[in-house]
Amino acid sequence: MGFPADAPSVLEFPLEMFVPGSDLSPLEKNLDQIIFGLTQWKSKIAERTSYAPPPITIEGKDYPAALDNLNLFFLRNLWSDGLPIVPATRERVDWLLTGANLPREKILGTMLPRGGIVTLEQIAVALAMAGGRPEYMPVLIATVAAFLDPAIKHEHLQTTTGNNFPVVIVNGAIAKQIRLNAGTGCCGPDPNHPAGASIGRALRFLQMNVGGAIPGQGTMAEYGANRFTNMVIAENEDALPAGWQSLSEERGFSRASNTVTLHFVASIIDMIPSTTTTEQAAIYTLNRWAAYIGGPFNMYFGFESRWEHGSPGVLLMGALTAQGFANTGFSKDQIRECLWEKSKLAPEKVKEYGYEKHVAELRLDPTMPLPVSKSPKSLLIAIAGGAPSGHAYFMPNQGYTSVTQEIKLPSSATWDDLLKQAAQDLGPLPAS
Amino acid sequence: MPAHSSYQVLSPITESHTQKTRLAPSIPDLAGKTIGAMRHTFRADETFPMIEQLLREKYSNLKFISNTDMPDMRPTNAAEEAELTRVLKDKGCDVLLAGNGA
Repeated sequence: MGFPADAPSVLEFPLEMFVPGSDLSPLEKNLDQIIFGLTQWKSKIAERTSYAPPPITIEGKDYPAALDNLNLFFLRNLWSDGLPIVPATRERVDWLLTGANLPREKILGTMLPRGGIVTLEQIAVALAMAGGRPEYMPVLIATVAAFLDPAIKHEHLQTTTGNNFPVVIVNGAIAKQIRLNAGTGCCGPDPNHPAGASIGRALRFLQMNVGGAIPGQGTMAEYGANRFTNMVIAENEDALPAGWQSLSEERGFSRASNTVTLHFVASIIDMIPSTTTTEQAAIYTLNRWAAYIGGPFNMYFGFESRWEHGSPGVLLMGALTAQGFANTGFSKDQIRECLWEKSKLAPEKVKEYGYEKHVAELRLDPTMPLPVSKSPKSLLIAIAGGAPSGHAYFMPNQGYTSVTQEIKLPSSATWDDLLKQAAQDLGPLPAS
Repeated sequence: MPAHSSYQVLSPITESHTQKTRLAPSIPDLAGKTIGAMRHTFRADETFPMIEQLLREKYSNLKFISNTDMPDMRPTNAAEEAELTRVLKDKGCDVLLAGNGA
């Protein structure tokens, strides 16, 4: 929240105290501190600072032992996610920064609740720990920029008891170039398309180490963030039916642009079946999808800003599902309108779920069915996943809005060199 | 056995952001002052009344504005901060207890 690190006006109490029915005596025991904070506290910090902690040296009898010791040290300091990390040596970080087109000291913003300053170098450190490559840096930098956009309100999503993770959908030629997956197995893990895992894990390291989202300390997420690697995938632009725009085109960018679209979700629902081989099958699928979407997800309605600028969530459908809809005559917007109508909550359901307060707060007509969003247009739809139309994904909202950020590449000569090196290291690009 | 291999790595954390800010003057004590409480989270309906009672036992003429009489705000931009400032001035708050458990 921007308070200095030494602010004693922020008092810590045992987490258990906030459990209903538990002992509140810590309040009485700390009353003098409460009074001090309200009357006498002054900040010791005088100036804005961007102090970088010194490098850390870890030793061992040999390199494997040093690596073990490094991983243990990082775990003890709460700088890891519980899985082995790659050492962020100066050499590795310098190598990763060749994928950025800005100075390493460039500041993108501060990440809350801890308020750590996010520099390009810090992004490269996180990507190094996550086992990333320099050609991933442009996507990660754009993702972090989107994450820090004030509209995202990351300070709430980092700290809430809600269990959320960012979904990042990449559009543009860069997706295939760096081996992001838009097809079968796109949500990972996938050794053929390793970029998504590293980029997503790097973002998670930033969220934890720079932003302070450590369970029970900075974040109160009751079940956690669900995914160590968040979700970083590509849209399958090759599979867009004729006349269908890509996600980034719908959000105002050209098909030639490289972009990331970031949205926070709460979970993943595998919607089965999602066949659209006939008109009747397509209608059945829309009915089922609407039933999934029309669940009592509080995060559709909580807080007026969500209603005004948010989305019910992210829907991913495979290539053949999309083509089946198109063959039947559905456009993306028609799918949205249909789902929006069919997913409305009847007034008796609104009452049954205890959501009358939301209807009142949003100043809606309580006699009318409650839609899951102010407008059908706000549902994010992207083509991704395995081609067969058996499954689709719906990820219910937990964010406040989505942000699309253009990806900036280094010079074309540098970019070509990075991609050539990737081809040498990883082999030819996968077929899909 | 003496160590002879090492990794030197860059730190995964940065120092927390700090910035000089002008604070309101301190008040010597809470007697006769108006304290506002804000946020409804995590047993605030129990913790804030308890704090109010404890403070009343120490200070005379204390005015305590319950969190139920204050907006549930978490300002994150200048406009929201300005709105909170207006509310605090309208209610005559000398100090604010903000946040409870989150």
